[in-house]
Amino acid sequence: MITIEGVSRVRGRARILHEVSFEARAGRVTGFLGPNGAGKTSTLRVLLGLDRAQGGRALIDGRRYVDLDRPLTVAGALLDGSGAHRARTARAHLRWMAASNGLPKRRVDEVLELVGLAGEAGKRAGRYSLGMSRRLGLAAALLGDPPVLILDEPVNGLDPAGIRWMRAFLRDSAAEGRTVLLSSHLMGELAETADDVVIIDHGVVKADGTLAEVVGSHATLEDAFLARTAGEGASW
Amino acid sequence: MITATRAEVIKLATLPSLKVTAALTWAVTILLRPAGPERGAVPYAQIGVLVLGVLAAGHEYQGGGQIRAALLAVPRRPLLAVAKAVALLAAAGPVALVAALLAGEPGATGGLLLDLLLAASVATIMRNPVGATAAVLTAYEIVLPLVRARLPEVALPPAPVAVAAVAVIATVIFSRQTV
Amino acid sequence: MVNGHGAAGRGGAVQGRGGAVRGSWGWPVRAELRKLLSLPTAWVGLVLGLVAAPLLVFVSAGGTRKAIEEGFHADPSDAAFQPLGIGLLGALILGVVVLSSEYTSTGEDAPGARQLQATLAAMPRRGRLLVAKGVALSLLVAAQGAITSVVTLTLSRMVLGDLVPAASPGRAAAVVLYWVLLGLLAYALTLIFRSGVVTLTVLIVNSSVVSVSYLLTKVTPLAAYLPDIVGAHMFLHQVGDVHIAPVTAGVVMTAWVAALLILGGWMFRRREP
Repeated sequence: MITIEGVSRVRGRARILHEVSFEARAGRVTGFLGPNGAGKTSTLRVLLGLDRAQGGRALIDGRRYVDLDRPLTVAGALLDGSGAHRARTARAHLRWMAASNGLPKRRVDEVLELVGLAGEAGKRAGRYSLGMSRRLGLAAALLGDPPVLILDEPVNGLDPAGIRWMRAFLRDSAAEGRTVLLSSHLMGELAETADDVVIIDHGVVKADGTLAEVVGSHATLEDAFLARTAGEGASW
Repeated sequence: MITATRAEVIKLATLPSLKVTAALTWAVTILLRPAGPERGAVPYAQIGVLVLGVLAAGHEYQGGGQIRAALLAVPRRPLLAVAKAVALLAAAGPVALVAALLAGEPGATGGLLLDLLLAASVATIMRNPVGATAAVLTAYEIVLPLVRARLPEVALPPAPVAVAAVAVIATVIFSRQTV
Repeated sequence: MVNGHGAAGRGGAVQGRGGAVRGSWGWPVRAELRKLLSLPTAWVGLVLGLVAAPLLVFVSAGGTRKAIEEGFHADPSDAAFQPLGIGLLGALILGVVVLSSEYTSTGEDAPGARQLQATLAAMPRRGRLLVAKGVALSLLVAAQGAITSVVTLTLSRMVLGDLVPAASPGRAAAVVLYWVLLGLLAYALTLIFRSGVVTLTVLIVNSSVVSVSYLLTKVTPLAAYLPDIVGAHMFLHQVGDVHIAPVTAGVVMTAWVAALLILGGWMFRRREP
């Protein structure tokens, strides 16, 4: 369960987030939707303790991420990039991550198997393709078998088979009772995967509810999205 | 704390550039000692140790966003900073000791460990290995000797105090930097 | 102007790979200058090179005056030139970042992505790219060296007065040449090592009190002909114990730099076919 309560963030004179509030519940996939630069990544970075908010609280199971003792066992995060140094092999990268949270070494091989990188684990991260880098990032997120998954644009860089795999994986994770929060600017993708939808624009939450509630009387999620973010949609 | 330190040791041990630097440090120390440098072979070991410190800390900030992975795994930044320092001394300390032995001055090990910490602190502040290498080597090999030779009246702080000050600054900056 | 109507006018229109790419030498050089000047690290090198030597003149004025009066300098004219050595750091940094920046990751998504990909897409001819980089670097370092040496030598005259003889224009020009050659040496070594850290370590250490090259001159006098120290003979009359004529020094250093550039270029072409 993820709770965002009145999170505000200002950088210089720019308002990045303004009193952002929503919840992502266990057993459901929550889609976090917004145009580029709307504040999706900023919200996730505040949630993960990478950025400070000037106001509000962002909690995972009632606790701040930075207060977690073994955070990888509570929440797994996929941000842009694999997080691996280019000169290090994928296995070595996962091994230090596992060690940092006291996870057994066998988890490294399990997650490599899970994301389909077992055969390439000895390659240096710098030699990975974009799709493989994303898989390596996902493997790191899954190391601690966390009940909460936080993914920023998870299908970026994946091929069609990879996208289908990711979709099934996210649905299965929610079915197992995990909390899944993913950001995206791809409407079609979210309409296929999400149970709940939060729309953010210019750092302000514009809509929050189940997929059906947010779509409402609009024909598609895309129509609903463009209606809520109208001013910007028209400029394209 | 122990797990975080262990992870940092694994990180250092699986980085190829650190092994190469350690090997080169030893090789240069052995090869130059017979040439009879005025100040002994330790200054050459010191150069290798400085580069080692810069690379160990600076590699987090190279492409790939590894520093974010590190902060997701260990979100408490001051704790991570301490774990990194302990891991660096544990992993690179033996390198410094062997280098000091090869230079024929085992007593120089302590000074080399201070150099190691200073270089790592500077790289953490600058977040750019090339820039940090230039800064650290220029300070050690060019500016400090110049100040000693040309401005003998300037009182330099003792090495442990200077290194501790820079390390504290690096820890504070590390705890606040946006990654 | 997308394709090369202007190129023919500059006498450089060459049929490129696939026959579609045309261009002149002017564009790549300008592109490389822009690229270099948009890097913060390059500005560090530029500013450092400009201010370090003049600053050193002030800092060491007392010591230098004493050294001259006590007859430490066999040739007092060297005293005005010696501070220039520290400014060379700027040229070294520029020579390194002109290439090392290409090998830095561009983004977070793929740790393998480097700016070099974009560079090679824009300028596919390897030879021309490397020459353009070298020319851009030389222009920048020459300007830096010229300004710094004029300022530093003038300051030395002001601070030290008649203790040092007026510097001859020929020696000042030799300083500029030395800066350019050292910048190119850094560039060549970065081409060979593909690492800014290695090149900077080697060259900074060698311009310091623990210079390996100087140490080697104790083992064999031939070490005085190593590329990084032989060049100093172009404008200093007293370097170590070996005497080398300025012209000889210039020729030897130029030969070294040319050879290393050719080696570096050959290695670059092999790695980036």
